[in-house]
Amino acid sequence: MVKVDIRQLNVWLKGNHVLKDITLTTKENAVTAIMGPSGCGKTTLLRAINRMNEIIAGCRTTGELYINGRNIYDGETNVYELRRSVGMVFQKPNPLPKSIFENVAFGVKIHKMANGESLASIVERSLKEVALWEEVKERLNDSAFSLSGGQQQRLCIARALAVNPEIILLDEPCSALDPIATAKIEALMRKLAEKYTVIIVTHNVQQAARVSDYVAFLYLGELVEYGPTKHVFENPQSKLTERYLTGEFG
Amino acid sequence: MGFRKRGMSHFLKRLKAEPVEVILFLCASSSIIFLFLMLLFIAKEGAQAFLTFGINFIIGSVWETNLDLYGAFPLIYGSLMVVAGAVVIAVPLGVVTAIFIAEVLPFSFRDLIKSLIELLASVPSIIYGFVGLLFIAPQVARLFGISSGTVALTASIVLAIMSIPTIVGVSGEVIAAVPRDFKDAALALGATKWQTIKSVVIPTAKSGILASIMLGFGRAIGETVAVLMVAGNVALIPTPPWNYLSPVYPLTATIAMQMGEAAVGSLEYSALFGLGMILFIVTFIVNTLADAIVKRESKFRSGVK
Repeated sequence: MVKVDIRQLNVWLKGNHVLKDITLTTKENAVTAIMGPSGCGKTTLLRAINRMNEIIAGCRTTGELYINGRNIYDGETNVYELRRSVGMVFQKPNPLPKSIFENVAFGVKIHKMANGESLASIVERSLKEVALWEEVKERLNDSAFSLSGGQQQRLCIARALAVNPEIILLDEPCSALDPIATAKIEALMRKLAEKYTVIIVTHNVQQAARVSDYVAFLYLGELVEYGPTKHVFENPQSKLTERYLTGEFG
Repeated sequence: MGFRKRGMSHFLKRLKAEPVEVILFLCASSSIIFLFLMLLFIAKEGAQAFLTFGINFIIGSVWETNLDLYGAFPLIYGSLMVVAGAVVIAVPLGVVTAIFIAEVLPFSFRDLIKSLIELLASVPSIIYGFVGLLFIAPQVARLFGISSGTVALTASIVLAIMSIPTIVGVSGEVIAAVPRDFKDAALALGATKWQTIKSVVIPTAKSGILASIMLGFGRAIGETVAVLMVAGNVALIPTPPWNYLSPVYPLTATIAMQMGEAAVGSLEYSALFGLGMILFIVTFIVNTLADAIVKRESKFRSGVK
């Protein structure tokens, strides 16, 4: 099933043409990795999917981006509802300066989805989904900053899951983490794909190979190659992709 | 830090070895010495009043120069009343302005608006007094149908205008310092701009905003000239006590008005210094509190619980 369908997407940030005519579709319940060297526009592409580029002044977007068959750039989409259903996890873990509980509950409260008992059960369910519950259940009221970096990142994923999203966007979620925490997040991404559509940005070729079902290679704002990860890695169609995969640049 | 670890004797040895450091040390310590000298001087001059009236100097309700009776309560009450009114007016205005500048105003306008507000802080207080006396007081009198507009409310309004730059400046800084990450986190969850301000920006900047209010309070309670021009200067507690349309006689105004007439060494003279002492202690407490709040804030930011 096609989940995200991007057609001729162009994005300009402060006059720079950052994304050029991107057309690609991602599958439901799969992990799609967007990889490429720094500055190739992969984060901008990710942020186009939940319209987070808009909060930057001087951003212009053209083209179409369909989620479940609906163009989110049609001018009628409720951007707040969109961002609820398309969760995002950032490069650096960014828990809010609140307790562990309040972090996970934040989005639920914002969207008035639950309170009291049912809120507590949503928090528990979300923390269990990211395998953090056992580690924090005794200290839900402690500051989120008391957690380690890897735990903070899983907390941020739990926070995104708590509002019942369909798609999870992860922007280099492991770049600030140690190898053990990275392994946990990668395993988590595989597990999340059973229930959600996962799209991850990474500059780490091995990570893309390990976690993704589909991979897109972006270079200087253009989509160079896109396909099932196995195909792209074993038999890249473009010389550029091959050079990137062998570590010649990047 | 260095001193505490290696001891004072080491520090003094260093002073001997480095003459430049001696000069720097003297310059650096001068402000602390001035502070203590001032405190000492005020305490010495004001001692007579405290000795004569005891606790009644603070809680006594009659301030009458002709009877040589000095109970400062109506003056303290007048000060607090005027400042409380100013805080009630200035805090919402100041905090909302700061949020507007930091979060809503397009980037290119920010500096212009900020410097305009800072300009407000550099206007001499006598000018505020003039504006208060010639413009605000008549408006207050007309609006409430009272014969004279030089009342507590007018003083509160003037003080509010004077403390807004402090509040906007300090709380603007802390609001602008709220990390981009926090706001992104909220927005990416589907929070609106207003929800983000309400549930992320304000709680994160809360301590700093509180400190800015304290500093504004400190600015207001120490203000003299503008206040004495518009407060009406009657040393009585208004009836009822919350009547903002009565004249009051704040501490600072009393000192400024009566100092010229008081004979050096007289009981009145000492009582005025006693008022200075009270003022000194109040502002000291407020500033220390503000400082403690700011410190707690920075501790919290580094993640220490």
